[in-house]
Amino acid sequence: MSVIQTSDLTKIYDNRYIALNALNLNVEKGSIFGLVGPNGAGKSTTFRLLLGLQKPTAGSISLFNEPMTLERADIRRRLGYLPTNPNFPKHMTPITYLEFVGGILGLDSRRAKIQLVRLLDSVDLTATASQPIKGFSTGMNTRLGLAAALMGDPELIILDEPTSGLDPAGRKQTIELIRELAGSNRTVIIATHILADVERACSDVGILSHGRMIYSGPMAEMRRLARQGNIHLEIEGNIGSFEQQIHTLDIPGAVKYEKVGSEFKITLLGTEPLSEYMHRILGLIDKTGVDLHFIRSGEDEIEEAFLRRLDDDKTRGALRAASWLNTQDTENSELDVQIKVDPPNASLSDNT
Amino acid sequence: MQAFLTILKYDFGQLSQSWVSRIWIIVMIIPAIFLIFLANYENEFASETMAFYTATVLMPASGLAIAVLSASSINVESGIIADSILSRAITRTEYVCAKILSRMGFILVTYSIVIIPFSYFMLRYGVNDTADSSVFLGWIVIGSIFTAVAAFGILMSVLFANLLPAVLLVLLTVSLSSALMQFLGLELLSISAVIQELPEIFRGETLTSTGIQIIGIFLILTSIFLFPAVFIFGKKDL
Repeated sequence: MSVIQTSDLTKIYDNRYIALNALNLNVEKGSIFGLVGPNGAGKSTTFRLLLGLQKPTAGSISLFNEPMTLERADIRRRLGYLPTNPNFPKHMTPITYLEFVGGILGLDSRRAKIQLVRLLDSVDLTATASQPIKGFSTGMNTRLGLAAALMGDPELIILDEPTSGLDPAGRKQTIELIRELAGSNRTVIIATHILADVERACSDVGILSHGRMIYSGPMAEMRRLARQGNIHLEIEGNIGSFEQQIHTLDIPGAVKYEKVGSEFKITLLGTEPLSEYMHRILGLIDKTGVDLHFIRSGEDEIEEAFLRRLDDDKTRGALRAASWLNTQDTENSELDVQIKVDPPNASLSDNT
Repeated sequence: MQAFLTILKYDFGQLSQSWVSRIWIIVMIIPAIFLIFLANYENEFASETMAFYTATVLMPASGLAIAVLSASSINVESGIIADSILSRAITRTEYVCAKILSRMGFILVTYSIVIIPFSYFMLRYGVNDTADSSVFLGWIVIGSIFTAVAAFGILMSVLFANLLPAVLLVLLTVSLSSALMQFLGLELLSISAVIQELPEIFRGETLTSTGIQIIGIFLILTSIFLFPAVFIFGKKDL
């Protein structure tokens, strides 16, 4: 069952800036979906549209199989949201702020108090629970935001950069908390550019670039794609001979490599399975008589896959533009024919 | 409904702790006490003294305070509206209506807290040339003017992201429109003309129907300003 479904979701600001370009997003119940992309890719805009804080320019959003609009407070009651660097009323303390959030969510005062005590403990803010928020660090604000997002015991949790400003221990704790949350049949969607967090926490991943989803699928599939064709090794001995013969590992043009000292990072662009390439490399090592220090596949795999997707998208962007121009040319020539054949229709299209 | 009441309580709490409110109350109270003593020693007419107080203290001080309190109702919270409030289980209509009620409620409660004891002591220690009902009518007229100014301030707060242009526009509009309406002979629409008429209203020399007409005009203006505020905020991207 889909918890989030968007269809051709588009957001254009002031007819000038395209923040989202026909985004089709599908998040299944119980999954932890990581939305990754460079700054300005449209992650926060996607969240603001999902929450009904902004109107889409075109397309539709459905949450829990119901259309989401600006006035759907009933759907928002089922959501928890953590914004990037959240803003809070600075004069409040975590206790008064969470009570306030509880009030907005319609929780009765007793239940809100039980819930806030539990949440402040789980985000490690019990010691500072009665201090004004204005003195809080970025990490403390993020943790308080996380507690606020969970006040209503939501079915869907939307987290925008949940580990931003956190120290390594805080990051680890937050990732563990996210995993626990999803374990209790909740759905979590996280926007981040920290790929290690996505790898550790998410079951599914979507890559956004310039407002478009350029990849969406299970994390395992992303890992598989990432591992394909990337081999990292260090050798000693007749390195020159090994380097000269690297291109024989596959057909011409299908082997790229980077060399730093005695380390090689080989990217194989062919279609053979990784095991076959590994076998060929070991054969080459044997043939050139170099000593192998280490060999491994898939280092920084998610980062590699992410960057590769972005590169592919840039290339495809040029192709798409060319194909769109072709389509326009074809349509224009069809229109010319129509004008010649059917003048009344032509005048109608001129008017419209 | 609980979300509406939570915002109402939160905003009312904010207003009661704000420095603008505290200064406003002090600025209204000190001259009022001075005028009560003066009316007692100099045997001043209550109607004239109350009208003088309104023209020289109440209107300028309250005009500024109401402009600031109302024009800051939405825009000063722009940072937290999306993050902490409207991303949760509350509709925009509930939010903006709670804001309107709390700002107008606070302004009218503060005004009443100062005006009711001031009128009582003025009628007791000054020369009482008024009727209770006409004093009541006079203060309701002023209250309706405050309501209209507050409604205009709330509209500006929805339209402008920054506080300063919103406040300046409220003050400028109130002053210019007042002079313009008086110049055009539309005296019931002119705040300065209504204030000039205040001693007569307090003495009961002005027809009650005229007083009610003035109240009606300013309440209609209030609705004219509030409907677009609610509508525009309901459609705005946050």
